[in-house]
Amino acid sequence: MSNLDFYIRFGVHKEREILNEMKGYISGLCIPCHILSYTQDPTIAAIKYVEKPYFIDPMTYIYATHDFPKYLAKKESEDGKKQIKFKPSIQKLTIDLNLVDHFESNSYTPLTPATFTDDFTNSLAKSSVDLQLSKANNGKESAYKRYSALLNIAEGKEMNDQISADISPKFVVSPYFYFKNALDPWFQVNIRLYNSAKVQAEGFNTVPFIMTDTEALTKSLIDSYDSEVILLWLTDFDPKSASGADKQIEKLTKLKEFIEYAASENKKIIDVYGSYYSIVLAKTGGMAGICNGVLHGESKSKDATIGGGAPPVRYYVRKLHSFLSVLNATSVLRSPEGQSLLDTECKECVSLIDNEVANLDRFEDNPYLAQKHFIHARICEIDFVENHELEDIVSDMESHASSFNTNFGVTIGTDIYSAISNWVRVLTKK
Amino acid sequence: MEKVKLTEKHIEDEIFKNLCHEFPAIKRQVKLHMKRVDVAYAKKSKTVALEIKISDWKSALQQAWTNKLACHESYVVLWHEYAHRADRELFVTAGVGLMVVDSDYSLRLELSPSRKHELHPSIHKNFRKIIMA
Repeated sequence: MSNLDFYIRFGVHKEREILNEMKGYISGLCIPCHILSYTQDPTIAAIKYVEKPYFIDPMTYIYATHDFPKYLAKKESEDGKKQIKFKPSIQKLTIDLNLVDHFESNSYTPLTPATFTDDFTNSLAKSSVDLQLSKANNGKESAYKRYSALLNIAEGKEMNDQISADISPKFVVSPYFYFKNALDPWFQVNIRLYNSAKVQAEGFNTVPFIMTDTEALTKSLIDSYDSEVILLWLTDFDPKSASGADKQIEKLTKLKEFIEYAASENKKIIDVYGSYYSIVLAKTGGMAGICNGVLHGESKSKDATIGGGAPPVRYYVRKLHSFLSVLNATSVLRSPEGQSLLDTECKECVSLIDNEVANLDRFEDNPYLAQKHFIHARICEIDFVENHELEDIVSDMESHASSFNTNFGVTIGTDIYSAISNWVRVLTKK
Repeated sequence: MEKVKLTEKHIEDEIFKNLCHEFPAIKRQVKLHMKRVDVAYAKKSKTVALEIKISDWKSALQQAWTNKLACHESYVVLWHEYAHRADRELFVTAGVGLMVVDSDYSLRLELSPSRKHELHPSIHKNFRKIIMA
C-alpha cells in the first residue's frame, strides 16, 4: 500500500460490489452523512461488506448554502395545510442532527454565522459527533440481520459476535461550512465547531474539514488547526480547467505552496476531491491523501447539488490523467497516433479489454468495468508518482499531453493539453 | 409568409424532410452511446451521419469525427452564411466531410469525407440496426 491514502467517496449503493472487489487497492471510504442517515441499513451493511477504515463527511455545509431552497419541498399535511420540509435524505440528516425544531421555528431559513451562539455551536458539534460515532454502531444489529446473506453472517453466535464488534470511523470530522477567507465570519464558526467537536469526541481523533476557495490557503489557515490531519475541499478550483491560464496558475501554485507548508508543519492534507495534480503534490510537498467518487469528477463546486445518482460511464485515460467518453477513447486508442496512450503497463486495465482496444465498447453497457478500470488506473498513477522523480513525472505528463494535442487537438479539443501544461508550468517553477 | 427563426432544430427538420424521399432508411437523433447523431441514413450498403450546426463548426467537427466509428461517411452540415468560416484543412485531416445548407434547405457537398473508414464493427452494427428498424 502506498504512502498516499486513497479514499473512495461512497455514492450509490450498487457501488458496494466494486468497492468490495477493489478493497485491497484502496485505503478506505468516505461516507456522506446524509446517505448514512437516509439509508441507514444498506450503508452500514456496505461499511461492513467493504471492511475498510472509513470516515463520515458531516455534510453540514448544505444548511448555509445560498441556494438552500433547492433542498426544500412543500408537502401537504393530513389537515390539508402546506408544510415545508427538507427533501427526504436531508430531512433524515436534519432529524439526526437535532435541527428540525430550529428550522421549523425559523421558517426554514439558512443558517448564518449569527445563528452560532455557544449553545447552538456546541449542540450541533455534539449531534454531529454522536451521529458519526454511534449511528453505525447502534444500527449494526438491524443492518446485519437485514443483509445477513450479503455479509455472509450466520444467525446465532456468529451474528452476535459481529454485532458486538466495533465499527467506529477512523476519525471524527468536525461539522463545517464554506468560508471565503479568514475574514469571513464563517471561518470563526468553523474553528469553534472544530474545538467543540474535539471536546464532544472525548479524545477520539477529530479532524477539521476546510471548505474554502484557493485565496484562503495561507500559512495562518494551517496554523489555526492543531489536528495532524486536515480534510480540504477547494470549491473554486478545478485542476482540469483550461480557461484563464494566469488565474489557474495562481490557484495551482497556491495549493502547491499550501501543501508544502502543511508538510513542513507535519500536517497531513487529504484532498477530498483530488485529481492527478494532487497525487503529484504528494511528491513535491506532502499531500497525504486524496478522495474520489468512482467515475465522478475530480473537483466540486460549492453550488453542486447533492444527489443525482450514478455518474455517466466514462473511460479514464491514465496517460492523459483525464476522462474521455467511451467513443472518444475508442477512436483515440484505436488510431495509430493514439496507440501509445493505451495503458499497457497496467495489466489489470489491459485485461479488462482482453488486450484489444475494440473491446472498450463493452464499458458502455457495463459501468462496473469502467469503475474497476478507473480504480486500477488511479492506483497506477499513485504508484508511478511514488516510484519516479519529479522530473520524470513531469516529462511523462508533458509528452503524452503534447502528443495528444498534436494528433487530437482538433477532433477532441485542446482543454486536456492546456490543463496539463498549466500543471507542468507550476510543478517545474523554481 | 411567416418568417421562421433559424434554429438547428428547424434546419434538421427541413433536411430530414428532403432526405426522406431519397433514403427511406433514415432516422434523426439516433442514439450513439451517450450522444445523439442529428440525422443518419443508409445509402445502399453505406451508413451516413450528419451533424448539423448553424455556425459552430469546431464542435460539429469533433462530434462528426466520433461518428466515424459508426458510419462509413460522416459529415458536418453548416448554414450557408457561416460555412466559409470552417477550416477545410482540418476537415481533411479529420477525414470528415462538409455539406452546406442553402437558403432553400438543399444540401451542397463541399468536401467529401475520407474514403478510409474507421468503422468499429459492433458500434457500426448496432447503429445501422437502429437506422434500419
